[in-house]
Amino acid sequence: MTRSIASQAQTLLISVREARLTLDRIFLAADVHEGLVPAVRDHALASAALGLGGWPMVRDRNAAIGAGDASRIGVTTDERGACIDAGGLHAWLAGATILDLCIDAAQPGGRATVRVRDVADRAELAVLAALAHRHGARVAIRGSEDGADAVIIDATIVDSPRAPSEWDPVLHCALHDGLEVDAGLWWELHHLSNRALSPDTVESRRHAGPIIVTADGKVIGRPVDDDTDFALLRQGPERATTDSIHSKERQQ
Amino acid sequence: MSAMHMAAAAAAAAQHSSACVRQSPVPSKRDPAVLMQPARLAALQPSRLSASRALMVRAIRERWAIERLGWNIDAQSRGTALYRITTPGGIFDFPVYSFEYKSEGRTGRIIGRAWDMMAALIEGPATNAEIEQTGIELPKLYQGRATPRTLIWCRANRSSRAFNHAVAALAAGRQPQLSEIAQVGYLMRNTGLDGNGTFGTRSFRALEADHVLAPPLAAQMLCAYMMRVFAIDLVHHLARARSPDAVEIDPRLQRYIGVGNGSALGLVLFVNNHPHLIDRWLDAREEAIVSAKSITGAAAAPALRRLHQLVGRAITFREQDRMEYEAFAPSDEIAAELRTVRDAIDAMLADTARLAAIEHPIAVLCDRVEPGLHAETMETLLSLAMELVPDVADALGRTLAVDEEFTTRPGMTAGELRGILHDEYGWAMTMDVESPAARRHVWYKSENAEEPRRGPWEEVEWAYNLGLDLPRLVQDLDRALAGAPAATSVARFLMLEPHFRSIVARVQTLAGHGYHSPHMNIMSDDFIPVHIVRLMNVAIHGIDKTRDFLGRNIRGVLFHGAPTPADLIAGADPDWFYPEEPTL
Repeated sequence: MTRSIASQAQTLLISVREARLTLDRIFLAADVHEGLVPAVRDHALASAALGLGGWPMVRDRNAAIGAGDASRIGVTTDERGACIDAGGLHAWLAGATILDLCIDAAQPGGRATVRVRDVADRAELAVLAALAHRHGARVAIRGSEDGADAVIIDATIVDSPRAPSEWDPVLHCALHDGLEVDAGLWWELHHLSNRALSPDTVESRRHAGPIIVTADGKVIGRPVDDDTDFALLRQGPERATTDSIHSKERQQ
Repeated sequence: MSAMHMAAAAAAAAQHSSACVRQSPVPSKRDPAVLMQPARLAALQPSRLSASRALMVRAIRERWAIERLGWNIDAQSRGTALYRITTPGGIFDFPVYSFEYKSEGRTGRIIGRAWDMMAALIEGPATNAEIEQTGIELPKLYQGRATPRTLIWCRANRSSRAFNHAVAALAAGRQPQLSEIAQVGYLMRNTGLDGNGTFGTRSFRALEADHVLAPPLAAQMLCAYMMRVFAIDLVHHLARARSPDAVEIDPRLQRYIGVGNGSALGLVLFVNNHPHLIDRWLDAREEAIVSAKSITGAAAAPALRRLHQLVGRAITFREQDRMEYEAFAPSDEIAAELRTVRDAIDAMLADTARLAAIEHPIAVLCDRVEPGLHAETMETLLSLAMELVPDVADALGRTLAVDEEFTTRPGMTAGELRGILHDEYGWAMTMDVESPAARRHVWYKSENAEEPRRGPWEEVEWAYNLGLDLPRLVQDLDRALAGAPAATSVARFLMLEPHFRSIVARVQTLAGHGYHSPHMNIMSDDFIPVHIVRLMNVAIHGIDKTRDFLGRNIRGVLFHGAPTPADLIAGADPDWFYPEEPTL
């Protein structure tokens, strides 16, 4: 790490861990299905690391990504070969499925060429070149000669990655060097991510801790050797700590 | 275990002893179906592989030097201090920011807003600018940013009872009463350790392979140790401020005093989120146990004598334990059972001819005593057995840093994936996930300090579930796979069923490993969170005397009996664990 303290004022270096935590929460709160959140998050992370849409796109497109139906992707085969129709989904939402299909197509013969059409923010598919390393594959992405709507992905199977630096070189660099982000934008994203946190109510405070204080002040549980300010457990919460959306319906 | 049971066990052991001369079990790792039960995981005991003990092994062997370079703290505890830890592999600085005690906003939970000390562990030597910047940023916590070479931010609170008693006693020129100290076990308690990228701290995965603090949790444990060092220094300082005739804590009592630790539901989420680490750690522990059980030939008798000595330490430790436990076994019961273990070792050592005929005496001993023992007693024996193979255990400890990423294998067929589910997740297939009781709870984090909480859905205003509903995911995935042609590739399956992507990646990545996921439904009424909290606290962190509260929280003592900085530099006793109460 070579950053200086002084430089932190304008630009922050964010660790992969806190970037993932923040992205997970943002996409969860944007209603991306929990089974897809890690994949979408990794695409966004790679985008930020590669200087693509990155952090501003997270802020601007998270709601649209969350509104997408990931099962809209389909595959057709015609005289030009296999074509993946992404159904207008954002590249970060469709990317994992597209990459899997490309690798699956390439595995029998070692290589495959696949057309992909109807991807929103398709320039973001460039992240697949980084993520393909995880599967022991390389992909090259180019424009389609027969129309502006499609891209061509050439996938090649190579040796399985061994060292962490081979598994995902972009992630490896980000782990060591951090991810740069404008400080103002980062704190904006941080607040956005807080929407995934639940309201702090007196009742919810009983869902953790070594003792429970009931509404009438009764203490349930053995005494702890903590010095405890019981007002913390009985008073109404301070709502100013985050900008959580309290009206959001419970996710069940 | 009752006296009648113990007598029966001893009789069975004697009978077994005569019947199976020359017959030795072949030591092997345990079946995950046994080991991965939450109640069994809760019974695992501290060992040489526990993070705190592993750190001390290294600190003792390498004679780490801990110096206090600065102390500018007033009689109200306000001010700063600076410590330096010098190791053969590098220097670390530990600036401390100390605050006056105030009762408002104080709780052992993460939602607390009052701390007696905050500190940072910085790859040193730290510059004045780094220390100054840390002092500005650290109190902001969630809104603050660590300096680039910072590994950990931490905070601690005093146990007023033990702390105030110690200050008063020392100021009066006498030692604190052991009874007061032993009821708690520490002067200060860790209330937060944040690192590995949090708040801008350095990512552990970016640490060099030979970095002193590269092993998982090593940096956190060093901070906890330094809290203990600071707590004793602060007590001495405050006593001196009260009286010029104040004395210092007797070194024997200093060793006995540990550092407190409170843990709760967040560790269940940690276990969910770090299956590679859990698998690697448990596998390493099992491997060390197998190695100890495999001791044979001329090495067997000395090993048994060493084990006899270690069991004796554990007996005394348990006999002197003053803590009360809610659901966990009382220490006097464990002590009684350990005495029968010691008797069994005596019996083996007494018959040298028969002992010589046994191929794996440690394995025989374990098999012999296990049927009558409480799981905690048995796990105590197994942890102590690891001390018989210190080099093996230490080498395994160097293999714990693992890659924790998940990825899909798109070319695998649906049939193959389903085969993995049936081979490795049978426990989840039969678990009730549909009844109201089985799906009653939600795991969430509150906006208040991001405290992990678990409660019935109907009591939560709204929440995104953060808990891993593994049995349900496995069952749902199995049903979906059953509806797909067996030859379908995972790539095609996930195209049609994209919501299974995360669980498919998890199952595929962890295939072939048995110890990654406790066999539990954490959404269920039946689930007892403290089982998993205890796995982390006791077995992995190495915390002693872990009192349980409401089935979800634990208070315990780290570095109980550990060498002081003066001991480390002078050459400390490696057998510091399970300390005997000092006679002052």
